[in-house]
Amino acid sequence: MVFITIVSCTKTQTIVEQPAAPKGNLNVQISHEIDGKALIFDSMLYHNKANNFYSISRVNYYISNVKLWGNGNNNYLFDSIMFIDASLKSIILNVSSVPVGNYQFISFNIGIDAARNIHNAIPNSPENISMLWPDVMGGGYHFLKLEGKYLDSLNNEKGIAIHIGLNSSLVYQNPIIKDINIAESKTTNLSLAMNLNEWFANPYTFNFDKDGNYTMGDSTAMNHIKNNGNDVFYAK
Amino acid sequence: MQSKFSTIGLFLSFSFVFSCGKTQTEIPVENNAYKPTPYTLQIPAGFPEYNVLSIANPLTVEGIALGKSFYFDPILSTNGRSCNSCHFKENSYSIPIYNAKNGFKISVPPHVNLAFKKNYNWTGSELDLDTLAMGDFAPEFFNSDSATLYAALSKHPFYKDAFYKAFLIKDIYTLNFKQLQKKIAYAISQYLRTKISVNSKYDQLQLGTARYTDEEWEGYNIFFTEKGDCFHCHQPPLFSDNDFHNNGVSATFEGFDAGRWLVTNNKADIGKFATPTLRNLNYTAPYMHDGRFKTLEEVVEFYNSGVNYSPTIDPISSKKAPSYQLNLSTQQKASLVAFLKTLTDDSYVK
Repeated sequence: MVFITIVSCTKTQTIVEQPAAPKGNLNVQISHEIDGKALIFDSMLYHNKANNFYSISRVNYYISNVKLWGNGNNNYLFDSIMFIDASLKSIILNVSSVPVGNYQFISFNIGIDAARNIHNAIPNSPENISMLWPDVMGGGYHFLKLEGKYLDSLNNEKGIAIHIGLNSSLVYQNPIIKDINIAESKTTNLSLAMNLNEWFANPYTFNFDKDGNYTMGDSTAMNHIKNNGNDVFYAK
Repeated sequence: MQSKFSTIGLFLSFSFVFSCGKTQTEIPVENNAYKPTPYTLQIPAGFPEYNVLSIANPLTVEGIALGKSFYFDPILSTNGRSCNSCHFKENSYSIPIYNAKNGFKISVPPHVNLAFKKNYNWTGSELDLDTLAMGDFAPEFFNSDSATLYAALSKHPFYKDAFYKAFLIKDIYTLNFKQLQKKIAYAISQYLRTKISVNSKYDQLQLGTARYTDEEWEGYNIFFTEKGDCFHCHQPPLFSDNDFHNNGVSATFEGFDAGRWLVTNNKADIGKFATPTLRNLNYTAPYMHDGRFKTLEEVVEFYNSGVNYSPTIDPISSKKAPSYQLNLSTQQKASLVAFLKTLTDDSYVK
């Protein structure tokens, strides 16, 4: 068991180690794309499967429970919650203390599991402070905030606020096929990309005009987005 | 210190790694057994716990005391001004309107819960609380004079001693003027980090020590649902999301109205301003970046019926375009105001 706390601002460091199997680390670099092209914020450049023209101004979400799948029972669960702000130039998830071995898949949740999807259950920072989901609307956290603008059928520019939260909207990212070799005391790199258009397609073609341009409080719309979210990531 | 990426590991592995990422040029100090007394900031439940302290400028009892003294003392200026000259306690350490030399008319944001912010001023022009006060030595504010300041501080019995107690600096003449300004700014920053306001009726409601009226509850429900949709930008417990938005208060952008663009030169930032905290609203009128609204009723009416379209308007403000109206009834608007008043911490200004 390894328990490490490094909070650099307070210079607190606690390390308690016991003999353990050899381990390495996995750095997962995350990027955001739309149909293979790097996301450009605040530009009305994109169209989804329903042919809505849209722009993106914000992509915030949580990734949790990263799991590496090996042969048989050789799986590794990194019990973690990570806040992602797609506007950052570099986003790297550090999956630490991974038992040495070969893994064939990686999966994770987009959102936070029910046990921790409770107001103030996870620590806040100045960066993730905007993710709370009001108690009066069910409580917990926004799992995903995807915001921007789109042109409606009358060519009006409208805001889009595709937000999902609540336990029923936890997105299980299907296992992504990728050979991942973890070597002792080494760091293996993996690149994953989110295709934002996948939130609006497969299996459900989400149309902002028909299905709504904001989803919070609309369980049907959130359910469509949740189901579409199962395969928004792919390995690069 | 401004990392937007956090990792929260629980169960078998638990790790927090935040990069404060600051490289500071430290001023040599004399070797001595005396050390300033570390101060532990008591962070209220639910407030951000990470990225709120500074490695370069750790809180100490003596540093905070020095900063508090500077905050209220005109000794830093040649014109009789102190920080307190534009940050009145009775206004939650803000000032209703400041007429800047460049012609900008600015409603000065209050000094409240600054430790938990990512950047400072309406446009986010300052990134670091530690050096926020550095700009105050300028002619427009303190009009500080190097020789005058060194002389005043070095012969002042309190400051000479306090500098040593806070920063182990026996002789301020060993510092150049920038270094001296920086240490003063550090002390003020330490004091500001301790200025936490968390005793409003809203906070008491969370603790179960206060009860809302029916009207306040109605306002609460408007605030925290899509009916009013205030919560997306004004998230508790800070009642700010630490971000920038164009809320539709202007249709065109002259001068200071250009907002965040003045800092980034990014067209997408035209008209965006830092989300102000709603805490202590009762004491911080007038409202918006330029103080155009005198009352909370005017603010609510603006969001209800006065939002303007512009290309950078926030998605949240333009969800219902081409209508930008909330369609609140007279009673609902009154209820929302009643709720907003529950965010006031009277003890903070007394």
